[in-house]
Amino acid sequence: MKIVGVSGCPTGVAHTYMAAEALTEAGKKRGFEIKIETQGVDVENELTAKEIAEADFIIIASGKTIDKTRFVGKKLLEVKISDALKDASGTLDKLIECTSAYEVSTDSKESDDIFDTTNVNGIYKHLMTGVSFMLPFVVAGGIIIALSFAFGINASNPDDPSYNVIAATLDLIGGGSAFALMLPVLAGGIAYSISKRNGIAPGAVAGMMAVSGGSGFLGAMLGGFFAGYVTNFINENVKVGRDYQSIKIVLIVPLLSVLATGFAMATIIGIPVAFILAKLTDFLNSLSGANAIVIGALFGGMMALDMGGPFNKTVSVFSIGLMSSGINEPIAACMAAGMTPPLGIALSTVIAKKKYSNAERQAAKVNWILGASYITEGAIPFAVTDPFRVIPSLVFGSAITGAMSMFFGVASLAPHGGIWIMLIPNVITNLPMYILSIVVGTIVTALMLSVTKKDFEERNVN
Amino acid sequence: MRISEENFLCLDISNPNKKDVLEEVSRLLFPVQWEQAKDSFLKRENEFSTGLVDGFAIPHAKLDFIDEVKFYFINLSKEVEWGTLDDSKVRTLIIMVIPDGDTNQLKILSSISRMMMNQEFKAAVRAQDTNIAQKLIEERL
Repeated sequence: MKIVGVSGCPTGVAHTYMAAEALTEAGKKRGFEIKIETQGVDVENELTAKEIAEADFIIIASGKTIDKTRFVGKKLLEVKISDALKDASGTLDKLIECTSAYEVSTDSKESDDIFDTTNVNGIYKHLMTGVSFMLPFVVAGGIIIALSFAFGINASNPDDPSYNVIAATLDLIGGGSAFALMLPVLAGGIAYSISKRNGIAPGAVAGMMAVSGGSGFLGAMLGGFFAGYVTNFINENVKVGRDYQSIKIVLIVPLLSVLATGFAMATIIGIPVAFILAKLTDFLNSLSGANAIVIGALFGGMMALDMGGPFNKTVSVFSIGLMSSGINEPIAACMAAGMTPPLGIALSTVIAKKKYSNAERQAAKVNWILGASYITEGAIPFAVTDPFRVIPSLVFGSAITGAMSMFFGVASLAPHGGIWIMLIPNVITNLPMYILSIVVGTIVTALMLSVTKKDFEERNVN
Repeated sequence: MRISEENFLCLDISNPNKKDVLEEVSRLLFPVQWEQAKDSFLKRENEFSTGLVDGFAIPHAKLDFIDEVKFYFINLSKEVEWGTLDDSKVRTLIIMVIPDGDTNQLKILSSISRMMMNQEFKAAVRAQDTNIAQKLIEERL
């Protein structure tokens, strides 16, 4: 019989180790193979994914909240730390009688985390931690922006006749605040995953600089990793006397890590991404004479390539620029192509249920709303977890939608708003063909995803 | 890690009450900064009693005026109502103090904590048998 577990105590450290010892001894006496991770001041004796996978039972003895996402699907018993100390043997008796598998309950905090980090390590895990931190901002921000659009596409602009104070407030909450925090939270989350609490400050600063410096999603990701590793490096290599330990944590590490990360974002990370962005803009300008289908497919594909990142933003900003010359077709193609990635994912989770975890299917429901509102970012969580299968599917579907929209000559007078502006008469020309373009792209994306993605069970094994 | 006679103490207490005992212990171990030590111990007790089973308790604190982990095994002259897991009254204190802001010595703390679950070790501590206690700790480390 194999048992693994976690002991943790909110105050002091002694009880943590004592509970671990009591359970280990009681387990050994019965000939169980038993390992207890201690979450005291630091995590020690950490359980590996393999050990958790092989364990028959999970025991948690804790006076604080222990993150149980690692143990989904295992037989698990949670007891107070004092119970384990008082009667470790009895606690094990109760554990091995336990028959029901631990599931993420819908009202617990673990359900926010749609990513199964139990089977992944290293860079992938850090990335997923960052994305799971960011996700609530995308969902709340995106829906709140969409609510603002419902008052009229320009209702948040004080200079516009349709100005509405509620719309402006919604835009401030969703666009001005929640969305503005996305990249700082992403980068902060990645850095937190790498270097714990010390990483949050340099990571968030890196994300902020990715916004201001225009390196977008990609810049924030690279910056988050840089911040995490540089913080670890500083933490390990700056030695101070025992009397100055607290100064190191509150002053030296934050100062050096933020400085190093900031300069990296301003130079080695920010500049190459800005360079790529500039090259791309030139490239697009040289292409404007080519035929509508090619441009539509190219624009559509790029919209889906990084979902709100530099490629996406380059194309949409370029298209908005064309609007000032009275050319309103590219922005329509962009918007349509930006709507299909979340919609395609949502459809795919419906038609190919077994390719997705339960949590992913739940999360994908929001994508119907995000997609309909032209918030391409809704697709990011799915793309990040399985980029080589998901991104080509999204790009292909969006390219078809973009090409169709351009082919039918659909024009849009509004640069944003998705389905909400379609409800306003005369904003979109040739609306039936426009909707057809979006539907076809959504179906193509969903079918391609459903074919290429592996079953969730298989993904878990690998 | 060495333990010697110095780690074992007996304390004659007048008032069998947790707060007074911790004050007397603090005065005994830290004659200069006893008030700070007493406050740290009491703060810890108020969060979650350190009482274990069989009349043992493990008051512990982080103190910024010490340089290394110290521990003391103290037998009390009277039983004290402490708040233990088995409602027993406390006869023996195992005191641990660690320097504030230092996590390097956690290993020692963790070993001592784990030893608290060992019946033989508890018996040796109560009997103040330095040799057996030392031997058990060495086996463990």
